[in-house]
Amino acid sequence: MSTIQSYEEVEAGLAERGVPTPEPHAAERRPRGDVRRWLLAALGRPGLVLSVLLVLLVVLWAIMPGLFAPYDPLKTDTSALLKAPSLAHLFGTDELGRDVFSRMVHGTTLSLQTTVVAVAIGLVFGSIIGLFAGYLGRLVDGVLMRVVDVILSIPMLLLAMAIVTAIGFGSVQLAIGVGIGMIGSVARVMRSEVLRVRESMFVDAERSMGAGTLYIVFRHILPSAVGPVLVLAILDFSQAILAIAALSFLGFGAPPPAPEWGSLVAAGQPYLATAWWMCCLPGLLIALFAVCVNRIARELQERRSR
Amino acid sequence: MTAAPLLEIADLHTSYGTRRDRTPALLGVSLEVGRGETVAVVGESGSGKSTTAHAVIRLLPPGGRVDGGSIRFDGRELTTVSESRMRSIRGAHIGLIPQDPMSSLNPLTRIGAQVAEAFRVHGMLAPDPHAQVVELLETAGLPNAERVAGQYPHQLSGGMRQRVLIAIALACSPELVIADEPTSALDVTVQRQILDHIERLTEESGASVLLITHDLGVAADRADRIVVMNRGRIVEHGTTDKVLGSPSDDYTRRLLAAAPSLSSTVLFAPVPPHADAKPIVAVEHVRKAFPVAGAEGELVAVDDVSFAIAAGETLAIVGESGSGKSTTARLLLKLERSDAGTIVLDGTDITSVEGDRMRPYRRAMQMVYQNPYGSLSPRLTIGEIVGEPLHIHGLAGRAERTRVAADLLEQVSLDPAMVSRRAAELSGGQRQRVAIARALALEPRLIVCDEAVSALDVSVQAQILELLARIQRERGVAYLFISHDLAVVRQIAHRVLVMKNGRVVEQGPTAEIFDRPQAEYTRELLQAIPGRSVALAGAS
Amino acid sequence: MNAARRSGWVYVVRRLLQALLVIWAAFTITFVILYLVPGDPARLIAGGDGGVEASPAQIAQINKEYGFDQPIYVQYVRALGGAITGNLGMSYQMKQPVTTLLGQELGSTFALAMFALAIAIVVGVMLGSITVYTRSRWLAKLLDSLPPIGASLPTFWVGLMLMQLFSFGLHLFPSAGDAGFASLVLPGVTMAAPGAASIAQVLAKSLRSSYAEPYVEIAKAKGAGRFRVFAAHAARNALLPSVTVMGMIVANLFAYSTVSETIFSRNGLGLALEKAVQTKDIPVVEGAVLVVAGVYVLASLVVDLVYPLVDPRLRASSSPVLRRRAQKAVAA
Repeated sequence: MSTIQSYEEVEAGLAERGVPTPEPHAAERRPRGDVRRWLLAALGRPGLVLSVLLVLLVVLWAIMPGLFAPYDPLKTDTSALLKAPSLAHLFGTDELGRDVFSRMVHGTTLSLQTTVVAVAIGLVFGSIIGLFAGYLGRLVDGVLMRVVDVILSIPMLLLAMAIVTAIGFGSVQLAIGVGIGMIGSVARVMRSEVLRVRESMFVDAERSMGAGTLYIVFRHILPSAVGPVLVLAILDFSQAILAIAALSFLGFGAPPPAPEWGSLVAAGQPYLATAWWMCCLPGLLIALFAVCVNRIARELQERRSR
Repeated sequence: MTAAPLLEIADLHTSYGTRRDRTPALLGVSLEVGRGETVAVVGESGSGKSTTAHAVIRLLPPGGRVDGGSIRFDGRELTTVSESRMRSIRGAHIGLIPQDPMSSLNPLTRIGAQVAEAFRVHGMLAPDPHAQVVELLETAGLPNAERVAGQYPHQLSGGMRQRVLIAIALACSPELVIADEPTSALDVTVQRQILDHIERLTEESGASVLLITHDLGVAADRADRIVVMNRGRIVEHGTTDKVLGSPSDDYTRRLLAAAPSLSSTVLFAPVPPHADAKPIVAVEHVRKAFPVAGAEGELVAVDDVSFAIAAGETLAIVGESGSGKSTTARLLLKLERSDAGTIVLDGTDITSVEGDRMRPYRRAMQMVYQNPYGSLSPRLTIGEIVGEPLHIHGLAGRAERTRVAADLLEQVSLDPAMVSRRAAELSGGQRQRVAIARALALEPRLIVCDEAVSALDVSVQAQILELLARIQRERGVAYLFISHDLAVVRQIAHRVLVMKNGRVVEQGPTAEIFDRPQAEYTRELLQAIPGRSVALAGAS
Repeated sequence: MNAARRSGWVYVVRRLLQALLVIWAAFTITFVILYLVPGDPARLIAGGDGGVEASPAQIAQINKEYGFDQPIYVQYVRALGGAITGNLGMSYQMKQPVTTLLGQELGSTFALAMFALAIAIVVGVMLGSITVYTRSRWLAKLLDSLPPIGASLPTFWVGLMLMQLFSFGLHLFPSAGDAGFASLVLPGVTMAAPGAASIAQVLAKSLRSSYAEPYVEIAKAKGAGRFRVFAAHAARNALLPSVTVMGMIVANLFAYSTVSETIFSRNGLGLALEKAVQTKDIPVVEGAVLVVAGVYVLASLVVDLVYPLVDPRLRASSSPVLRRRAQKAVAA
C-alpha cells in the first residue's frame, strides 16, 4: 500500500510547494558505542529484537525453503483435505490436501525475490533522478521533478497493473511495475537530502576551499544522502511486499501452482466460510512480516534523527 | 527592603532526562526579587539561568523536573500549587518575554487575536476587545498599532515582534516579568530600544523584572542587582555596582575580563607587522542584487562597496542584519557572482574568473563561519576535516594530511590526538578552533571570519579572539572580520567599515571610528553597545 | 495589495496549467507503456489469447477499424484528441465506448472512496490527536504503535477477515454486492485502514514538532489551558502536513478499490479495471489510469489552493520559494 510512510517524504513534498517546515535543531550526535553496550540496549527492546529475528527467519526461508518446510508444497494428499491447523499441519491443509505452511515457506522465495528486485529498481532509478534534480537544479530539476510528479500521480498499484497489462503476468513483471511505482518517492527524498546537504554550511565551506562539484558530490552529498534514502528503501520494502502480494492476490503474479504469498491467500477465498485458516494464517504471516520490516525501518529512522 | 520579597527562591534543585538517567541542572539556587526591583541573572550557556526562570513559571522543557527547594511568589508556594492554580498565575501575575521573537508568535494567527488571548484566558477581555488590544500595542511602542493588530507575525520585523510579545507579557499587569534573553536575537540598535521599553513599562507599572542574560553589559545597564550563575550554582550576587566593581568570585572576575563590551583591551598588534604598499585584495564598486518574487524589482544586498585589505591587517565590516556585510564577504570569496565592480586578488583581476579556474586563487583566501556546528561535516574525523583543503588541492597524501592536521591542531591549542575524533564530540569553542586550523591548512594570506565568534560564550569568545590575534602576529595573515558586535571589533580590527542597507556608511581606522564617528548611524551603533556607560566610567 | 492579489491569480492559473500538464504526461506515459509493447491488439480483440485463431482477413479488418495500421504517432494524436474531447476509445472486450463504460462505474467507486476517506480522516485525526494530547504515557505508547501496524496490514487480507467475521460470523453486513449503505461498510473500512494510519502518523509527528515551538510556550505562559494550547496553537500548525497526506490518500483509495471491489464483488471502477487487466482490455486500463491520475491531480490541486487559506505566509506572493531564498540570501 503506498501509504505515506516517511515524514521526510511529506516534508520533501511540502518544501517543494514552498511550505515552511520547522528547521531541525542542531542535533548533537552521540559517539558510536561499543558492541556490548549495543547488545545490552537491544535486550531492553524485545519488540525490535523479535522483529529482527523474524525477518532473518523469513529470509532464511527464502534462501533454503526445503530446510524449513515440513512437506512438499506441491504434494497433494487426498486423505487430508481442508484440515484445520494442528501440530502436524501448522497452517492446516488446502482443498487438495497440500500443507499451507509449507506452501507459504516455499512462496517466500518468489515473493521476496520479486520484492527485492522491485525495491532495487525503485532505489537505483529514484536515486539517480533525485541526485541529478537536486544537484543540477534549475531546468533539469524542473523537468525531472515534473516527471516525478507524474509517477506520483499514478498510484503504485495502478501503475503496476498498467505495466502488467502491457508486458504480461508474472513475478518479474510485477517487480518492474512496483519498482517503477516506487521511483517517485525515492527521487523526492533523495532530492531533498541532496538539497539539504548542498545548502549546508559545511558544503559551502568546501566550496570556499576550492572543492569542485564532483568532489563535493562523492565525498559529501552522496554519503550523507545514502542514510535517509536507505531507510526509505526499507520502509518501501514493507510497502512493496504488500503491493506485490495484492497484485498476486488479484492473479497478476506467477501462474499456479507456483506458490506466492498473495495468491495463496486468494486460493483460500472460496473456502472462507468453511476453512478460515487458508486465508487467515498466510495473510497474518504477510502482515507480521511487513510490520517487522516496518519496525526495523522506524528504528533506523529514529536513530538517524537523534 | 521592609516588605517580604515578591519572589523568593530557596535551595532550588532541578534535573533533566529520562526517568532512570537524570542530569542535574540546578544545584541549590537561592535568590530573591523585591517588589519593583530588576534582578539580572547572568551566566554562560549551561549555567542554569534559563532553567531557573522557567522553573518559576513551571514551564521546564520536556524531561525537566523540580527535585527540591521552594519557590515562593507573593507569599504562595509555587512548587506544590495545582496546575490550574498555576495557570491562573501565568500571564496574570507573572509574564514571560521570550528569547526568540521570530518563532514565539503563532504564524497562523493575527497579532490582534494573539494579544487578545492574553486577556481572554484570564477573563479580562474588555467589552471592546479591539480597542483594548490596539491600546496595549500602542503602549508597547508599536507605531500604527491598528494595522499591526490585523497583521500576521511574518509581516513584522524582529523588533516589532518582540514589542508584541512584550505587550502580551504585560497585558494583565503582572507583578513579575521574566525576560529570558529578550534581545539576544536582535540587532544592537533594536536591542537598546527594546530594553529601554521594558525598563520604562515595568517602571510605570511597578512590576519586578527577572532579567536573564548572557551579556554582562546588558545586566550592568539595566539591573539593580546581579546574580552570577555557573554550572547550576549561584557564584556571586549583590548590587550591580558591587558585582561589577569589586567581584569576590573568580568566575565573575573571568567573566568580566572576557566581556568585550566592558573591556577596552586591544588584541591586535598596533602596526600591521607585514604591511606593504600593495593590498592583498582590493574590492571596487561591487554590487549584488537578488531577484524578488512577483517579478517586481530586486533586492539590492550590496551597493557600490569598495575596500582594500593589506597583508597582516584586519578589516572589520560592521553592520546589522540585512546590511549586506556577509554578502560582501561572499562576493569577495567568489561564492556569489557580483553584478558590477571589480575584485583584485594580489594584483590579478579575478572578477570574471569562474568555476575550476578559480580554484588556485582560493588557496589565498579561506573562510571561518559563524556556526561552529554546521560548518564542519558531521561524518568526517577532525583530522580529515582539517586536512580537507590539502586533499581538495591534491597537495598531500593521506598520511601527510594527518600529520599536518595534528600540527595545525597544536597551533590552535588543541590536543593533536583529536584528529581521530568527530565534530559532535567537541564543544563550540573547540569546533571553532578546528575551523580556524582548517582555514590555516593552505597557508592563506587572507582569512574571512564571518561572525566567527558570535555564537560563542563570552569567555570562549575571548579565547578565540586571542588565538586569531596570535596567528596574525605569527603568520602575518590578514583578516576580513564580519561582525555585528562593535565591542568585539574594537578589540581585533585595525580598520572598520560600517555598512547599512548594502551601502558603506563610513570607513576608517578603528580608533577614529570609535572616538570620532562621522556618520549619525555609526554614533547610533556606538551608543547602543550595552555596558558602555560602565566601561567608560571604568576607563576614566 | 493589488499586486498581491494579481500574483495570487497568477499562482492559481499556473497551478492549473501544471495540473493539466501532469494529466497529459500521465496519458502519454500510459499510452507509451500500453501501446508500444510487443503484442498484437487485433488478435486480442478477435478472440483473446489462446482462443480460436482469427483469420488474416478478420485481423486486417480489425486493424483498419481501430486504426492499428496507422503509424504510432498518428494513433497517439488521435487518442489524445479523443481524450480531450472525452472519447477514450472502444473497449476491446465490451465493444462499447470506454467513456460510457467507466462513466457507469465511477459513481459507485466515488461513493465508496469518499466513505473510506471520511473514515480515514475521522479515525486518523482522532488517533493522531489523542496520541499526543493524552497525559497517560502508556496510552500514548499504545496508540503510537497502532499506525505502523495499520499501514502494514495487507488490504485484501483485512477485507477477507472482515467478511469472515461480520458477514459469515455475525451476519451484520452483506459479503457481496452494492445495494445500499450496509454494503459500503466493509469495503469502506477495508480501504480506510492504511489511510487512517498515514494521517495518524503524520499528524502525531507534526503535532509533536509544533508542541516544541516557542509559540506554544508563549501560549502556556499566557496562562492558556491545555485544550486551548492544543486546539488554537499546536493543532492549527500541525494541520498542513496532514492536509497534504489527505490529498495523496484520495488517489490511493481509487487504486485500492480494485482490491476491495474484487473481494466484495461490487461493481465499480476497480472491478472494471481488474477485469480489463485480466483480459488485456487496453483502452479500459488506459482510461482507468487517466481517471485516477485526474483524481490525484484534482486532490492535490485542492490541497495546494487550500494551503494559502490555512497559512498566511503563503498568501503574499506567487512563489514563496523564491521569496524565501531571497530573504535568506540577504539575511545571511
